[in-house]
Amino acid sequence: MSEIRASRSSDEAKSLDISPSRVQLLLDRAVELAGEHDLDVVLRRIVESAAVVAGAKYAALGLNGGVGARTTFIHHGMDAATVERLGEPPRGLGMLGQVAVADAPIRSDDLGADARSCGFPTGHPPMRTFLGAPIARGGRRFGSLYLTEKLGGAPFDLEDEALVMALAAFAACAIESAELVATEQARLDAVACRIAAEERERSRRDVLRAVIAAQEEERARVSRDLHDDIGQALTSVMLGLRLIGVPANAGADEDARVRIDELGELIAEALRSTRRLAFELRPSVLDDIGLAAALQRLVDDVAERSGMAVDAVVDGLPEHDVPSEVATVVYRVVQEALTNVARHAEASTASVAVTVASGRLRAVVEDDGAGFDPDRPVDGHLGLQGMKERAELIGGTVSDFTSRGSRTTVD
Amino acid sequence: MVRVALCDDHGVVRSGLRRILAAEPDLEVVGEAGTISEAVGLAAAERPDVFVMDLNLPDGSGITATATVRKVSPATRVLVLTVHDDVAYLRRAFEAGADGYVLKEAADVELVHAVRQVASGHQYVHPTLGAALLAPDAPTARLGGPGGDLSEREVEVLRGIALGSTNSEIAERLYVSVRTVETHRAHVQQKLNIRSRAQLVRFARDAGLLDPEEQGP
Repeated sequence: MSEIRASRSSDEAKSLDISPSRVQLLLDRAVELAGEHDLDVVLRRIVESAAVVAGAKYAALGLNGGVGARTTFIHHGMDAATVERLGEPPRGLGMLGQVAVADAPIRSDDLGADARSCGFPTGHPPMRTFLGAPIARGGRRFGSLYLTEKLGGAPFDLEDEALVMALAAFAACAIESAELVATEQARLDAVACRIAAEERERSRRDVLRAVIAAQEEERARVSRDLHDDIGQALTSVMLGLRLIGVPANAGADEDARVRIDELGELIAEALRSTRRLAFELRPSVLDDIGLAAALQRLVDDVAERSGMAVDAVVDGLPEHDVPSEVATVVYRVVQEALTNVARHAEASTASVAVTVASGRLRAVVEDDGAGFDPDRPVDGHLGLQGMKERAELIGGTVSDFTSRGSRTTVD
Repeated sequence: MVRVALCDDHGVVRSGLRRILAAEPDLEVVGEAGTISEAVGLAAAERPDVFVMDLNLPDGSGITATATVRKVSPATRVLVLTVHDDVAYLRRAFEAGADGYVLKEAADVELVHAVRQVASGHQYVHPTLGAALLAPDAPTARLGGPGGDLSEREVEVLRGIALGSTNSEIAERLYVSVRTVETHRAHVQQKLNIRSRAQLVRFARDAGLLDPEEQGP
């Protein structure tokens, strides 16, 4: 014989003799609950087990808010058509509400006559006998169990109450452990998600680095080809023309001499254009001589084209110690900044200062203009975001991008 | 008679140069090279008076070739003929021992004259590059010199700027407001008659403000 004491302290409480088969049923259900960790499955099993253990036609579980971040009403025993007809779950105004705030089980022999009830909506199946019990553990209220229509027509008794209270205790444990599992799973998912995001970011950077390197390499190659192929061909033509035009070879035709001179000037112009194209693609001076010379050339070029007074200083740079990747980034970022200043800042002067102090290279581009929207990239140029990404690849930053100085810092 | 050798990796360019030079009664082309190693061999064998040297060569830079040619044949003078119009190349070439620098775009009109100039012991630089070479640098002044009466705080601000600090970083370091830093900087620029950040950095460097012992902790 098992003895289960009802938790309710009332004059009804006393030792109960509960049939071993009902206790066995409760224990079977408890073991089943203990083996389940999915919260939704746990909740459904609790309701179904409550109906079986209490011998009720209908069972339901009202879940307090905060459990699995949901407020739920789960029921058992009502056919789908009826549920459909009733629409919304009960709002807990009558008896259900009483149970929800009670610390002890509540029984009623006839809901229709009970003052605590507020009646049923139209179409609700008739329910007379009632047993409600809290699901709580360690001071935390998870929800309530509601049982109605005890099979056989008798009211729910103390034995039913004791069994349901025991099941409610198991239910509380099962809900709590399902929650713990879910929380832990969410934490693991978040960690996995973060690792995946970091992995993606790393590979994105690798791709970006490779793309930039390939782009710079290609630009350097085309720039060299412009010098070596087009430049040399134009030089050959120019020298050939000169041979036609030298006094020894020239006929008396003054008109032809003038035409040859004009062609020579055209070719010289084409050579200058070729050089400009090559410079804009990637200045060979950056690869052949270094960052300082390339920046000086850039500044002269911007000054000539924009009419701004632009100067530059490069100080403390160990020329052969600056890796090509760093030199390229600094050059491109300064180029971008100067382009922005020339196009948008309405400045009359700009200044580039590259300094190295305590192992940190800093490039500051400053102007006296009105400022501009740094987020708006100039067509075909990097824009602030592009500059930042480039700098990040070599462990640098781009900041203070306003009219009063954009700064690249490389450690 | 001036004996001239040519180094350019482009055969058609070489033959054009050869014919232009050969058309002059006082010039004689004694050989052609297409690579650094050929140029060095040619210089050793012929000891030409002038070596016309391209900078883009398949086996390296004409600057390297210039230095090597000058080494194997010290009497040979090198005249660079290139598409590069950066003063930086010009400086490097002259450091390597070149005595002339002509841009290819002006080869038809300048080359013959430049070869004669170099052969006769003068130096020749393409006019626009020569001007760039002589362009005035930033005003160089000393802190104690004229216009150099900077206050201690102004010197601190100047040093901060020269080290690449922002106004707000300098302000933080000196425990003053950003506006104060801006005012100090304006005074510095006014006193030194300096207009730009680059000039400030250059001035600070020339005045020894960036020397390690001056930087403090």
